[in-house]
Amino acid sequence: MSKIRLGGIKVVEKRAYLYSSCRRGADLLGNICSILAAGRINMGLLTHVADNGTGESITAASALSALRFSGYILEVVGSGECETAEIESDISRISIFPHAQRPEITAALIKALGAAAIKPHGFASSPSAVTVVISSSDFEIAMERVFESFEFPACGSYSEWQAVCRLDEQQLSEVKCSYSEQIITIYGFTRQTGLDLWNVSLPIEYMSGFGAFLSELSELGFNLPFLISNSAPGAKTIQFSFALGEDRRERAGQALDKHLPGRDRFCRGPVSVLFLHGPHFGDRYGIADAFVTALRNGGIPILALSCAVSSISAIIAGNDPDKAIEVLSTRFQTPSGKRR
Amino acid sequence: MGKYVLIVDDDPDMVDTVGMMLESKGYEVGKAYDGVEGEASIGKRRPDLVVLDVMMPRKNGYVLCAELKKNAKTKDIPIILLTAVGEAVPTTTYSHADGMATEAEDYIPKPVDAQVLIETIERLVS
Repeated sequence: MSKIRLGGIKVVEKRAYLYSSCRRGADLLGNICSILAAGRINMGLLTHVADNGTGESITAASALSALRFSGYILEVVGSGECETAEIESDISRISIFPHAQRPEITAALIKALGAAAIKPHGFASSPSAVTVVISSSDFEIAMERVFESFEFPACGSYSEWQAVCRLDEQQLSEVKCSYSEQIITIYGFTRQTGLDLWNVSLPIEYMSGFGAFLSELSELGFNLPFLISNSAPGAKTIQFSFALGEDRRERAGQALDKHLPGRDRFCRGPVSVLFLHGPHFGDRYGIADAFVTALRNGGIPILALSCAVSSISAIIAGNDPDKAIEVLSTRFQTPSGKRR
Repeated sequence: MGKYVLIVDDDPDMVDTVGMMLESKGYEVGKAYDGVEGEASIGKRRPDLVVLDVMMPRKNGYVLCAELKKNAKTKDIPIILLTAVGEAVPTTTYSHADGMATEAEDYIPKPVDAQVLIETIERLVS
């Protein structure tokens, strides 16, 4: 099998991962974001789906330490606010890029992990990268499989990555960088409208079928602007949420029937995806909290969310994200046009 | 075909954001995701200008900039350093003074203002 040539790979090791699910319209998205922001804790990854098609909301986050999560988890589970909340204390995140919205990149990643019988905790997409969260105990074999499926200019193999790139990545992750902005400066908003949001729930052993589904989307020339997935630590199921063009609904449904017959799925549209990117969003605290709070205060529900690498991707209802952008402009601004 | 601009940054979302910005203005864009790859890319095809990030794995932007400016074959390529080191970033292990000490043609703090970046590129490649 020929390797897919990509631009690069980024790895973050030894992080904690929180998975939560709620019912009856409740979710932990706002609380998790505000707790981490108040604790000045960088959140390297966040995924959320407001309704996976069965009335369940799922929110997952990854940060340096599980300590901040622990007390909160006991509280929300004890109060009945949340159905499931679990922490995995040692995960790693592998991001590959650029995906250029090509489904075959995620498909190949899923197949690579599946071939090694690795159960991912989740996936998250940014405009350029796709990130997978795995237990650190699976890290070595996962990286070997990734290097068997993909080719990167910086490192030709996992062993080369270990020798050349690993230390650099660790050092860069330790760079101390703080911002003192009242209003967060960003590069700008980009949007994509006319989409459907799909939710598919699968037993883990069917994950390769999902990879085959994505491969078929690729053969059909479909773009995949948004994808997240979540699976509770120890669970035997995995949920995927992804966006495709509305005009692809019928053909995508047929492909799902072919590769995942009889599996539950839920599709709603039209939706839009809003992308927000700023400097060091991947290692600054409070960015996701500002984003989520602004939209909620503006009465705009977030149907699904992916914070990964250095971007936020949010799915909102309808084909006109202007109101969302207006609301977000209370917390985020593009540069003034003048040299600083 | 427009002028060829090479973007070197380890943040893939940043590379795509700036790349789209430049392509919309008619520039041809090359992409590299760390200093070593950026150097190799310049060796294969000489860009009309390099947009260079500072904090990168394998070879940071200051080092690559200094090497390019010492090399007779590449010293005339205009370089714009893009970095988070600026007034909004009081704390970092990379200093503003280090950036000013390089021989880069210009130095723009992140996040990049599209208008400023385009004006700067146009000035340097003209």
